[in-house]
Amino acid sequence: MRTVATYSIKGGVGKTSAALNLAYLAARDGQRTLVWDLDPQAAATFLFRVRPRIKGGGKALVRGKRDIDDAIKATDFPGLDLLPADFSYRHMDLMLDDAKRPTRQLGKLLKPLSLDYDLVVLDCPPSISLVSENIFQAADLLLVPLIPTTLSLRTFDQLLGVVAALDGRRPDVRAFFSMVDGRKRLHADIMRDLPHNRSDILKASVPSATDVERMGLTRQPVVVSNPGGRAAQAYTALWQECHDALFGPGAGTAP
Amino acid sequence: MSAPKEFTCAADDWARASKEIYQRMALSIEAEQVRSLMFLDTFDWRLYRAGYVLAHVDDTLELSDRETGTVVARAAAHNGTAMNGELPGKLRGRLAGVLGLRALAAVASVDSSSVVLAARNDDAKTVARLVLSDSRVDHGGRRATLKYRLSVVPLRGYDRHASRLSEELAGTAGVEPISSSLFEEAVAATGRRPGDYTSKLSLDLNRDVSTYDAARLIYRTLLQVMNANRAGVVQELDTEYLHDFRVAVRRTRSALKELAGSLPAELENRFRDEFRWLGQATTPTRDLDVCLLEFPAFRQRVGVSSGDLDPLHALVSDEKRRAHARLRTELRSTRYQRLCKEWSRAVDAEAPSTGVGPVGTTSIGELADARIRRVARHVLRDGSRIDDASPAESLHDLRKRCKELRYLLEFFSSLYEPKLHRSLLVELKALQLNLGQFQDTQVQRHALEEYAERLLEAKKTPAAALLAIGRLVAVLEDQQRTARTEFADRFSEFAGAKNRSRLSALTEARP
Repeated sequence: MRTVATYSIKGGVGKTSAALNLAYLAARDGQRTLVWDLDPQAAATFLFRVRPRIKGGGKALVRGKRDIDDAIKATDFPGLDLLPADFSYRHMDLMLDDAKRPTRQLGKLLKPLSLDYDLVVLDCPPSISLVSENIFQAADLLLVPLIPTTLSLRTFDQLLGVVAALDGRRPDVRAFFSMVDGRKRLHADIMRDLPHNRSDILKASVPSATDVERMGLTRQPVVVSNPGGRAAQAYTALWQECHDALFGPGAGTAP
Repeated sequence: MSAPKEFTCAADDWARASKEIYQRMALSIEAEQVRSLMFLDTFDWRLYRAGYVLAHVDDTLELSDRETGTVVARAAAHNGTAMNGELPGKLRGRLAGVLGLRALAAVASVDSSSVVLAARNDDAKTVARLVLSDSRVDHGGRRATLKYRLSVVPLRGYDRHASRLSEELAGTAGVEPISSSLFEEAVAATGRRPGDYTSKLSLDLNRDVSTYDAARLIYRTLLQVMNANRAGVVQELDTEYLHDFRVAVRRTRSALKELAGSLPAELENRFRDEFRWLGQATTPTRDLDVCLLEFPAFRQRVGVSSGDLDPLHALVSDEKRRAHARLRTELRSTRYQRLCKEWSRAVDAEAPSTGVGPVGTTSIGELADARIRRVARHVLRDGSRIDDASPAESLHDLRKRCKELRYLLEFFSSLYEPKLHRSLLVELKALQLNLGQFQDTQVQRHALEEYAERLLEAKKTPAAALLAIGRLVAVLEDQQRTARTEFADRFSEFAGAKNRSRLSALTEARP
């Protein structure tokens, strides 16, 4: 089982859209996939039409008092399940802090799922906190959406520094450009001037597109609602790169 | 108990029942599908026995749990991949241990027209599905229509809704639960039954049956094994068809020797010759198969660049192709067809074409005791005469005696106390393994020396290839010496007091 986390310190940069579309594409390729919506705002849960509630609350789940298995819900898509968000996740830092090894608790909870799933996608809340540290420990791939601005590149470099300073296990960190607006000169300049040797920035970039914004209405990944659209094509290319980073080029399933 | 998930209904009720279910349960149509589905398994049902069902659906291979129907692995696959032995990586890793040397083959091909109906909650979230399907099986150009099927598909976290759907179905006029899965029903439509073939011999005999009847049952069963495997041998689907075919021939020859006198002598003599011919016809291909199967291990053992053994591999593969072409001709010959036809008539259950032999009226219990005692005595006598100076042939002869004992124990397992029988077999297998290692390395060494000569004559062979064969021969010599050294310990364990008392208790103990 491999774990990918869509993560950013900032909100509104396309984390959830990426998480959902990539998870859908993985499942379509035959990977048994689970999305864990860790964000108390519950956007991923809403988009999958699942009720944002965990029986007994997030505390019981995070402390291992409630079986994670019982909280999982199937989505409408074959091979794709969801561990829904719960409003109590807003206190997740406190819940984790009470655990024995607070930075490893999420990874520990995910371990027993390896028989049931090939891929876990963590849709993370925007923050840098104990939850983030847990995510860094649990993820094999940290996928960071970047709006092409100078500041977001600087923040990404800071994040790379934080991850590099971690003890023990460190995820592979890759960014991709998100919400790219072709009409904005700044976006084009930033992407053009990017050093070519930066392997930590993926080639696929996701455009700022109406169909991504409409996901809230259609409540479907854009690769389902508008498979021929530019955003769907971008997510498909992004998934191919993530697949290779997670499983090795050509491994497992073909797209 | 969980509610049944699979239902059926008669053709006459189908239209009415589907409409009623659709309206009464407020379902919505999610998809209409026309799908071709191919179920795959090995000839000896290894996936089925391990609790799996593997289906090739469109471009996907789906591995499911046989009991629950849950998909446990899914992988993209192009047409024919699975049958070419090229399972996608994820499935290959998972199934390698289950499949062993066996190839996957289609066990049933199903064409289905289905309607997928979704039960949704207030958020328009699908909480359960009902699949109505009308399927046909294509088998050898004939089409068989399967029962209409209504399958409730539960969704994780929404089991309650699936149970409710099942209850509603159970209460619908004309709709009945069905216990067989689509896989089982489709396989049955091809005239087979999951698990209907195993390479293990399982004969149900009792001590009072006449030797004549018991021998014919043994011969018939072994002939069925040969018949079942013949097509796979000819088409070379995998190496195990020939392996099982040869074991059946060897067992028949062994029975003709040990149960001599069950049938008239003239008939037994004739078929002894015929089965010797058949056994010999299969030997070259099998030896070459074994050699090719050993190649990965060969490459590891010589510890040189793996390409150095390529000329040898090419030569052995070429030899194998020729040997197999000869075998194919023999298995299509009039002689083979006559053998099968006449042997089948001679050992027929109801109206055998032959009379009873001189020991045919003896009870099989009495004869089995005597034969097992005699062959075991020979094994103990021959083995105890082997010392460090004995020639390789003496170990080879002992190996043959052990095989005879093994076959007798397998033919007559139903006559003996199971625990005792099992312990004896375990000891015997350990001895056979040692003798097999000795003999196999001997055969491989000689074959490699002969191939090296031929590669040398071919002149174009690189020196590295010959050197690699030389190293391999040295490794094999070393292994053979080890097997020889271990023989004394293995044999004294087999011939120890504990096992001797097992042997005598076996033929006295009664189940």
